[in-house]
Amino acid sequence: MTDTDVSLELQYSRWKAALTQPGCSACRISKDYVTRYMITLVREGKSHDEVYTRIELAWGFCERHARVLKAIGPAKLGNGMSPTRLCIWLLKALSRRLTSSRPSAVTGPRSSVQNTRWIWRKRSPGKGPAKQLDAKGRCPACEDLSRSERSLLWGLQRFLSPIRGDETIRQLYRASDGLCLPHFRLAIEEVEEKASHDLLLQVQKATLSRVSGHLKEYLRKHDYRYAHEPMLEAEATSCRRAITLFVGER
Amino acid sequence: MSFSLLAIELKEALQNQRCPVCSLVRDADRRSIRYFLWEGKNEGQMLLRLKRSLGLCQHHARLLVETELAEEKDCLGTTTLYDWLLDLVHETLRDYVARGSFEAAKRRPPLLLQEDPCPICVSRRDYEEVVLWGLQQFLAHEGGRETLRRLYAESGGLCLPHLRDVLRLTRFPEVVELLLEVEERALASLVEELELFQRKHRVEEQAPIGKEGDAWERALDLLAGRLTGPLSQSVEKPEDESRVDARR
Repeated sequence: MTDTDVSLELQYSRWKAALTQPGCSACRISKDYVTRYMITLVREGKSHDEVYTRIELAWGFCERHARVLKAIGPAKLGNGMSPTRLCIWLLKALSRRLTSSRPSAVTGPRSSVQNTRWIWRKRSPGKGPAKQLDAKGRCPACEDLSRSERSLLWGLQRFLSPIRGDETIRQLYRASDGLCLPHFRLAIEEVEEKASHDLLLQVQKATLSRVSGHLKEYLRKHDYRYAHEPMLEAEATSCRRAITLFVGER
Repeated sequence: MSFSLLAIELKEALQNQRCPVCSLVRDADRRSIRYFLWEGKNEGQMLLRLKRSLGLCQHHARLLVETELAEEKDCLGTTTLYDWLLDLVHETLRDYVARGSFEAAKRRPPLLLQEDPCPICVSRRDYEEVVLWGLQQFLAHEGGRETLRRLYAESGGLCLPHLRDVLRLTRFPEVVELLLEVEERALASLVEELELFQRKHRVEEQAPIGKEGDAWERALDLLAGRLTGPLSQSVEKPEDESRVDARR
C-alpha cells in the first residue's frame, strides 16, 4: 500500500460520515482534525524537542488556534496542566528574551562607522527590542493543518473521479450541501480530472441556488403583504447558512 | 479621534490587567459593526469593497449576525447583503463554466479569490494604529500624561503582538524602558500563577484553585493577543425562528 492509498483509506470513512451531515463536510472534518491535533500537540507533542522548538520559535500559537485551545477546555487537556506547563516554558523563554533585549545605555558614537547606527538607534530606540521579540516561525498548527486540509480536498476530488474514485462518495456528494467557498476554492485548485471538476461545480451551483432561494423567500416574507405566510425553517436559518457558505466553519 | 477621548478610554482599559489595546480594539469592532449594519454597508464604495472581499471575514460576519439578532431580533440587513453577494458568486460560477474547457480553467487565476481584505478588518487595523500611537505618546515624559504613566506602570502590560508594534513605533527611550519593565513584571507574575496552579495539582499539595485557574488562558492571550472577543454563547433566538416554532 502506498502513502497515497493509506491517506485515502483514512479519509474515506470520514468523508462518508461527514457528507451525510448538513453544511460543508470539509469544515466538519477539519474542525475535528484541529481539535484532535491541538489536544495531541499540547498533551504529548510539546515534550519532543523538535516540536517544542517550533512552538517556541512562533511564540506559541496564532490567535485562532489559541482560541481553539481555550474552547477545548481544561478537562481534555490534563485538567489544564498540559497547557500550563507549555505556557510556563514559553513565558520563561520570552522573559529571558525580554531581559536580553533591553537596550544598553546609548552612548555616543566612537567612530564614523558607528555614527549611522547610533543615529538610527537614537531615533528608533524600540526597534532592536521589537526585532528580538519577533516570532521566527509560523504558528505550527497553521502550518500543519493547512497541509492536511489540502490533502483532504485532494482526497475528495479523487473520490469524485468516476474512474479512480468511489461511487458511494460520489452519490453522497451529489446529495450534499457542497463545500464552503474557501474549501471549494481549494478543491478546484486540487482537482485533477474533468469529471470531478464538473461534479464539484454542479453541486456547488445547486447549493448556491438553494441557499439563494431561501434568502429571497426570507426577504419576501418580511414584506408586510406576505408576512402572514409561514416561514420554513430553512428560510429562517438561511442567513447563517449563507454566512457559513462564504466563510466556512473552521 | 480626539486625543483626550483616547486618554479616557485607555485609562479605563488599563484597569483590568489585560492588554488595553486588544480591549479597545474589540470595543471598536463592535461599534464598527453597528455602523456597518445600519449605514456603512449601503454606501457605494463599501459595496465595491465588499464585492472584492467577498463579504466580511469569518469573525466579522458572525459578529454582524449576532449584533443584528441581538438588536433587531431578525437578520434582515445581513440577509439583504448576503443575498446580493450570493448572486454575484453565482454569476461568477456561471461565467467560469461558460468560459471554456477544464484545461483552460486550470490555467486561469484561482476562482473566487478575495481581491481585498475584509473592510472591517481594515478599519480595525487603522484604529489599532491610532491607539498604539496614542499610548506611546501618553507614556512619554514630554507631552505625556502622568496618570496614564502611573496606571500603565501598575497594569498587566501589553500582549506580545502589540508590545512589538508599539516598540517599533516609539521614538522615546523612556517609553521603551517602561514598556519592557512592565512586561517583565507581568510575565514574572503570570509565571508565578502558572507555577502555583501546577503545585496545587500535586498530590501532597492539593488546595482549592483560585484565580490562577485560568492563568494558562491568560498566558495564551498574552502570547497571541485577543482581538476577537468570544461571540456570546447564548445567541437569542430570532423572531423568525420563533415563527417557525409557533406553527408546529
